[in-house]
Amino acid sequence: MSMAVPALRVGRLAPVGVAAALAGLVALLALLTLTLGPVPIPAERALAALFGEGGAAETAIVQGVRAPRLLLGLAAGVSLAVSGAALQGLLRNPLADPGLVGVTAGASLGAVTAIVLGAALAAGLLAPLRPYLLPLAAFAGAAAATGLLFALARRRGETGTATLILVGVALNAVAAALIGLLAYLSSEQQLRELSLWSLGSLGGANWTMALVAALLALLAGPPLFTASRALDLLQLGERAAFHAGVEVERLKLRLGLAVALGVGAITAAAGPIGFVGLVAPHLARLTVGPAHGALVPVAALYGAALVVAADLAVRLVAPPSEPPIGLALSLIGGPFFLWLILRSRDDA
Amino acid sequence: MLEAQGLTLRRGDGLALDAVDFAVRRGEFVAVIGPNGAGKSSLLGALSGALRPSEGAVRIDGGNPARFGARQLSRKRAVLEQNPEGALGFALIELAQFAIPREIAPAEARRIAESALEAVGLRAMSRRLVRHLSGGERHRGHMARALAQLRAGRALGAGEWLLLDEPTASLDLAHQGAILRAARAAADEGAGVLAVLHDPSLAAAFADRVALMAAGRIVADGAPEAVLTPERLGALYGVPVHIGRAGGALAITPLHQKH
Repeated sequence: MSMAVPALRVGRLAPVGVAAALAGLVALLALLTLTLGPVPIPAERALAALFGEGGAAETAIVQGVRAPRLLLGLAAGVSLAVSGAALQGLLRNPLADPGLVGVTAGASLGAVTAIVLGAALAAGLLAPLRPYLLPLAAFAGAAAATGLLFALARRRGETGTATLILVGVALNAVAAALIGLLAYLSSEQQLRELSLWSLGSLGGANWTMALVAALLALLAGPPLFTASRALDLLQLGERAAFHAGVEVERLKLRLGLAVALGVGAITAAAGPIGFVGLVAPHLARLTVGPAHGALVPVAALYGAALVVAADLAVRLVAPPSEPPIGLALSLIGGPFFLWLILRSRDDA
Repeated sequence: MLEAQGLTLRRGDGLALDAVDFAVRRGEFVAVIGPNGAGKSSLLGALSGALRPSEGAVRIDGGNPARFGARQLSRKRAVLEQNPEGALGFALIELAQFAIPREIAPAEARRIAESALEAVGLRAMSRRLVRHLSGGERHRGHMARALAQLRAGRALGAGEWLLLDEPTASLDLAHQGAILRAARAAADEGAGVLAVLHDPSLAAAFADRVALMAAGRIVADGAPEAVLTPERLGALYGVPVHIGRAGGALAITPLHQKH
């Protein structure tokens, strides 16, 4: 046949177009993050300040406060969205959000352990490793929760929604109890630190924290972005994926560790931020379809846009006070989750 | 050769397979039939490399499937699972391309997938979402996925074995024929085909050989006319069976009693 094969669309938008539009949106939101705030700085001067060519005060605000906060927000959005997409693909369940299924709670438990018992733990670490203590502890907690989740939620290669959510409820409950116990043991200063952190905020961002989080999230990137064919095949079930050439157990280990690393790094830096891992992959699925080659990068852009927009909103809603971003995202994500549950009930 | 020697598979405290010796050769279509729980799917699972033998050995082209990685196995053999499902949000043409390895160029992968859809009678629907297909159409779509994997394996210098677990379940009479004709064509092109079937008439119509299983063992293995006798089938299924001929094909009818 000499006829040209038409591009595959199937009622979906072209991924490249969607990605370009989202990248533009993220760039716009990033610029707004640098310019808007208690001290508005026009875009031109904000960019100059970013590159160290502005006035001293503006440079201090942009370089010292807004830019690291923006970097942390971008890393959080990308990391949480991609982790959510990977978990949903691995578990064959569109409701698998790192927060709902307990991975974030595991990371939180690790981070809280580091905050409360941190002095004792840090004493055993070399000085250059200390900024990594919190992320490492969060990673360990997230990895343990992910392992438990994979082991408990699966029956013959399938993860039913009910089992998944119930295992998530159980993991969240156990982690919350242990966090409560640690809070009970903590000093007054630690308790204040804990309660601020536990609401989820980008407000405490500094360069060290943002760079460590971005670096660790970056490490988690390659396994998550290169598994798209295997994740597609997993949608047929684990046995069929094996038949088609996927080393299923190895894939789960690799992606589970990457998810734990990404979620751990972000949770350590910004506290538990829920629902990005649920909302962003869903928006991506609705616009570009379920093939992971397009879904994962587009979800990453949605995640970045979502977190940076939400952070902008909480900074501007009632200045100078700042409601935590975790609360804002839960206000959006909660109803969204409910809508998904109702919709999946209609489908079945 | 795709072969099992002394293949035993434990399940719980019983045996799913009990010291089975069995082989499929290239270019041959072998049907496995037998009552529910006879071990047909276990045999297929062990031969595909998905289930590890408790005792005995499985060899694919002389090698132990456990030694090949999933990737290498996927080039040697394609499998249609029992009750295949999933991929609801994908288009049929995407499903058909699912199991084609990346080494195959996209245009070539597209051609392989389209000809596989053609073989199962779904070419005209290739852009429909799996979600919008009927149960039988989905099943045929997954069959196209397995056929495409086999052809892709062949393009990469392997592609010798096609394993089908109840490929005709949930299909109407015409489509049962279409699926088995596609499997037959794969055998005629040189692949060894193993199909678990429920209908002995279909087995007789399409297979070169029929293996009869009961309680984890192969109780008869040979040409359809030799294996499929009223006595044997009657004893195996516990239902009297009439075997006649209709237009040159064996017609196997269970003589059910209403009361």
